[in-house]
Amino acid sequence: MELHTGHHLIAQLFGMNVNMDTLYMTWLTAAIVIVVTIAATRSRSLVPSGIQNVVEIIVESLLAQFKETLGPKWGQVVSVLLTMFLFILVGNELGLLPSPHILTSPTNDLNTTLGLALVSSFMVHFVALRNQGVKKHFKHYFEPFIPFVVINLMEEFTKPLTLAFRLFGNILAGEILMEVLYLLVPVGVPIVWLIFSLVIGLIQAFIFTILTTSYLADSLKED
Amino acid sequence: MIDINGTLLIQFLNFFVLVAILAKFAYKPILKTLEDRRNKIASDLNNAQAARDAAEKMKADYQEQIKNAHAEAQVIIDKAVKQADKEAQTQLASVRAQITREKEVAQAEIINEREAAIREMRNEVVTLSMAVAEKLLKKNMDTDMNAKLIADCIEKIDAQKAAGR
Repeated sequence: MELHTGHHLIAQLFGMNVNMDTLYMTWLTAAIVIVVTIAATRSRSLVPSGIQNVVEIIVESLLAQFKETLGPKWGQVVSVLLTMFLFILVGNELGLLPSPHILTSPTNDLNTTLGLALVSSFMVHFVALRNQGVKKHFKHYFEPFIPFVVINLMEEFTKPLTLAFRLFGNILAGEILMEVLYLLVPVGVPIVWLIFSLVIGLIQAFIFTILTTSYLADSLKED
Repeated sequence: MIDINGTLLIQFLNFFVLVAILAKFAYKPILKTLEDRRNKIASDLNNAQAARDAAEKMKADYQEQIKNAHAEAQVIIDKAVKQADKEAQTQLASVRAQITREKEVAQAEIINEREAAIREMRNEVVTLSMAVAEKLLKKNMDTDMNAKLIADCIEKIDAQKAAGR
């Protein structure tokens, strides 16, 4: 017996192997996020209603977290963090929609989650260099004292790896289990797991974003 | 199932494209709306506070004015009562003085008239005595006669007295 989840439609692009299904789902996810957020800004009334209200609730509660963690310079990274949350959230939930092996989560592909984790690492270094300068940024690898450079450097790899694998594992496992449950007990049980997965999708998006926020907080620190 | 390939690079770039699009078309207006709302609420709250302060100040002013008005009214009433009291006293005193004066005048008049009456009576007595003496001298008198004359004289005086009254 062969499961569909986790198998990709591979194509050649610029001389590289590319998972086309992941890319399609990524673009679909991006399109949904763009449409929803822009729809939310169309009326822009001071008294929000409908979709504007929904998006503003999400954005405002995230902003509260960002401001508290990042301090006054939160504006530098807010776009990346909000996009991260919205993209991962929509992507996670997209794979849960019932479809005959068409819709999957873009986040069930390690390439996507690792790509996002690399974005997180890239932003951490980019923002740190911009705010603290080269010397100060590299100095902190030797703190609190020089031998710590080993641990600090290792952390630079473990941070994105854990981010990537946590998200990837949760979503892939969720979808595999969903498929297995459909095969084993088609009635009732998959619904329970579906509800559970919806919450997992939200939690994972939140965890990814908040961890990235806390990594970025070090980069935005004044001293 | 787990193979890293070109998708990784494309996803990395994809994400930044998405960030760029959203930042321009979605986050900027959303953040602006949130900021506008925050500012509006803050300014509304400030205005409300200012209005309440003004109202409280006005209330305090009015209370102060009412208090002053009460005090002034009390002063005016006190003054009026005092004035009325004083005038009543003055009038009473003047009336008393007038009464006293009139009484004195009346007493003086009574005394004068009594003296005048006494004086007149004395004159009458003298005139009568003279008349009696004249009669005595003219008539040849005996003792009985004398007694009768004197009795007549006294009778006359009494009669005069009764008439003069």
